[in-house]
Amino acid sequence: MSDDAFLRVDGVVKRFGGHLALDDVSLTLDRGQVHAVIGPNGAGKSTLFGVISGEYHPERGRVLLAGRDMTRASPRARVRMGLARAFQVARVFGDLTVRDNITSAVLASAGATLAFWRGVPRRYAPRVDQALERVRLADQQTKLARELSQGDRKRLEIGMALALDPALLLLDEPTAGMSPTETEATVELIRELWAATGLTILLTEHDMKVVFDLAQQLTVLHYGRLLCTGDPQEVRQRDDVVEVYLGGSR
Amino acid sequence: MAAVLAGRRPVRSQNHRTSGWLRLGWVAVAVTILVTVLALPHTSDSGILFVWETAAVQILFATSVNLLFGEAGIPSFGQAAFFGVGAYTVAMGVQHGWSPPVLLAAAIGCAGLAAALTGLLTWRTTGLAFAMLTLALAQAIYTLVIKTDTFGGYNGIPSVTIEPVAGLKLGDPTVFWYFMAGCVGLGVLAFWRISRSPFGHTLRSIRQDEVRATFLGVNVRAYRVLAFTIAGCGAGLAGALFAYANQIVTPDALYWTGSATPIIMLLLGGMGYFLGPAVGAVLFTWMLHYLNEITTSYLFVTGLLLLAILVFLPRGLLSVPTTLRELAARIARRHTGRVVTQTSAREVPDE
Amino acid sequence: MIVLATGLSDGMLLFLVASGLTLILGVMRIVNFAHGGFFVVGAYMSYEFLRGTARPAWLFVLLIIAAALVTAVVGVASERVLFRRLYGLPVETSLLGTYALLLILSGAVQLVWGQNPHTQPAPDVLVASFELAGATIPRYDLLVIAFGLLTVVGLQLLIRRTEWGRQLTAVAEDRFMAGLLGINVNRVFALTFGLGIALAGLGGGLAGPTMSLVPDVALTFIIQAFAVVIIGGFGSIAGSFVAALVLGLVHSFLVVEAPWLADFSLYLVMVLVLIVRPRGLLGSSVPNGAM
Repeated sequence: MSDDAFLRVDGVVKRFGGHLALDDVSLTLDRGQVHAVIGPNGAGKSTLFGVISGEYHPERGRVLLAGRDMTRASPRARVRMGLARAFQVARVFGDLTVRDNITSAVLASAGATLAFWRGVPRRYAPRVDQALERVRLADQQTKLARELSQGDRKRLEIGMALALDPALLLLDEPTAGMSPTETEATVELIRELWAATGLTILLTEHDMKVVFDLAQQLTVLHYGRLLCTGDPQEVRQRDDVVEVYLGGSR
Repeated sequence: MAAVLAGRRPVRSQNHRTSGWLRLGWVAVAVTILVTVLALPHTSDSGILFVWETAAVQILFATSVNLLFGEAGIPSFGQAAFFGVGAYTVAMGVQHGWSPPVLLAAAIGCAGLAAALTGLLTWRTTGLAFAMLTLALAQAIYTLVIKTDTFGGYNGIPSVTIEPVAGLKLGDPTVFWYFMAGCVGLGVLAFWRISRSPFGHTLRSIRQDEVRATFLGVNVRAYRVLAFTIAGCGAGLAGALFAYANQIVTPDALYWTGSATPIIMLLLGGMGYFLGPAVGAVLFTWMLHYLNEITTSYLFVTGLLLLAILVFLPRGLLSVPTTLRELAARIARRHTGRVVTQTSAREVPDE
Repeated sequence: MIVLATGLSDGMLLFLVASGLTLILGVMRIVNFAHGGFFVVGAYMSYEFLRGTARPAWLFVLLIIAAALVTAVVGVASERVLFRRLYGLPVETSLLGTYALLLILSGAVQLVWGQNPHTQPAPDVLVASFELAGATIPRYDLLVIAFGLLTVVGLQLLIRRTEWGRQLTAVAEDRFMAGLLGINVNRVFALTFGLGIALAGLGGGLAGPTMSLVPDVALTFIIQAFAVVIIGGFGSIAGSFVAALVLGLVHSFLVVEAPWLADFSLYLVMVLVLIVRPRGLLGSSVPNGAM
């Protein structure tokens, strides 16, 4: 465990009724790392994301962001600490334009959302433009978000997360529901973003090609338990992983 | 692009006119309103002028309610209580000889305070539960007023006269009309400003998806309470002006059915449009005026009208041009058999 | 003792109206403003059937039940014509739809019976009071209490013991899944609505002799029923029962002990419950935002 860890999840337990969704799961994420959580359906990936982002509070264990205990903190407090997330099914503001979606994020990030006595200040325009360019949606900015294709909507959500200027980006299945071309473009986009900003990324993914293309570290979950952590080469060679997961998809 | 950010483009506007034409349209609307306001006292008798005063009050009231329904998606059914608080503040203050500016400010303050308290009590509820709660809490305020002798009980408080301010005889019908129109104008402008502000922008996004807003770092509940408070202030100002115009305040001013009236108005005009509530308020006020002349059962007719709007005109009168354009586009498409293009895709209802 | 009797009887009347409201809310996810309208229609129908005169007790009971059934028919008709269009619409639209129906119903009552108050006497046998533990208790209260008890037991049996009750629960839980499982959701809706409205009509008929009838009663009574539903917990019939009885008792106690507070009892209890238990006394764990 290095001191450089931006995110540390420590022995987290989360139950839903009688179902043990996460059983003593730990995870460490260094700054600037791309880390993927994989595992078959029901392994607890989305629950883990929920615990990290503040959607759920775990029964046991801790979540540390930049060394601070955020286990019980609100989603808002975590966003202020530099955490941003995208959902498995993209959540965007459907009846607002693409540009206004990004503007919402920029305003929220600047802490400027409370002002009701003045117009939206123009000084935020460059940040909006930049986020639009980054996710390549500048040419569609006047469309309503609900008119976008599934893939574009997910990119818009990534754009909103980026507009928060995060230190850690959580991506829950960023390529789910995408065509092969869209998937490829999205992988390329994430790689570019990472190279340009050096931010820390935690993602879950079903598509193994995407995982091996992007991630430097892998964590494998199986029925809510941690199976192993390691770099892609190590993980690929472990028999138990091949059995529970890779074997299943072959 | 900068225009979009400055919020000059209406969010729901679905037309593709250039901003130059749009601006010209707004200027035309403003000039028409101004001329009407200036000419009214000279062309109408006191009865007609009173109906216009009522309409002006309702314009402000409905516009404030639109912040909740049209922008933030907060279904409050208790706004009449804050309207009533504003009216009673003025009625009580007049008895102590306070001047109009002080009383208007006090009315806004008291109504805002009542709204803030209601908002904090209902902090954890949304949707239907919230609608029922605001209704019941507003009715509690009504009960408080009819049971308290200081507020005149069922009879209310008579002789609410307006004091002169800085030599201006506000008691004169013409002067009062200008004063009132000015106040309503300022109030509506304030709501326009709020709607175009970062706060208004954030309210619209909360309405769309509060989970997404939360994970952008927005304190959704606090924003709801603030929006509720601001709308309460607007209702309070409307109620205060109503008290001066009516010269008597009775508990009817805060009975719960009064909460539904502005909602009907903004529905009639068109909820997504900033001027929708104003248009609806004028039409509805005049309609009630004529209905009262021809029938005793305006309840029945109002109910039928509301039903008709909901079924045939759910997006309000101001949506008629857009609806017609959509219809024309659809017919045109059927004839040419063209594939849906990007512009027309927006006109296909996404349901 | 008298406090207890009037409290219980007032509470039972509230419960009759609120139970239908909460049933419709729980199953159909619709806040039915028009419920107060049906209450008044039921009251006036009973008045019409009884012709405003005192009848023998058995005929009285029979006729108010008949009036409740007629009201239910009007209710089912309005469900077919109006409510069908409201399911799944935004909250404000569906609320306004039922509000429109409330205006239409009380407006129609106003048109047919006029704005002047009507009075419906109770059956002669029930007008008298009797002595119990040194207090005089109006016999009519006993009739109301009996109806309330029959209703709460009947509803529980209906929901827990019958096939239709199972279907109703399934639709309330998840109407989409229920539809997939072959339950005729539309029929369940129509029956639920009919039952709820019949209860409102019955409440109206029973309330007739206890008040002077004016069309505006629709507007005040619906608010009280709302408060009961809020206090009891949304969609919970048992909760409504408890809440209505508590409200009835608190009210009749305050009328004697602190009359100036009596009319606030409803709101005081509501605010207290809200602060302590925002979901209502017996509210489910479903966040009420989901409704």
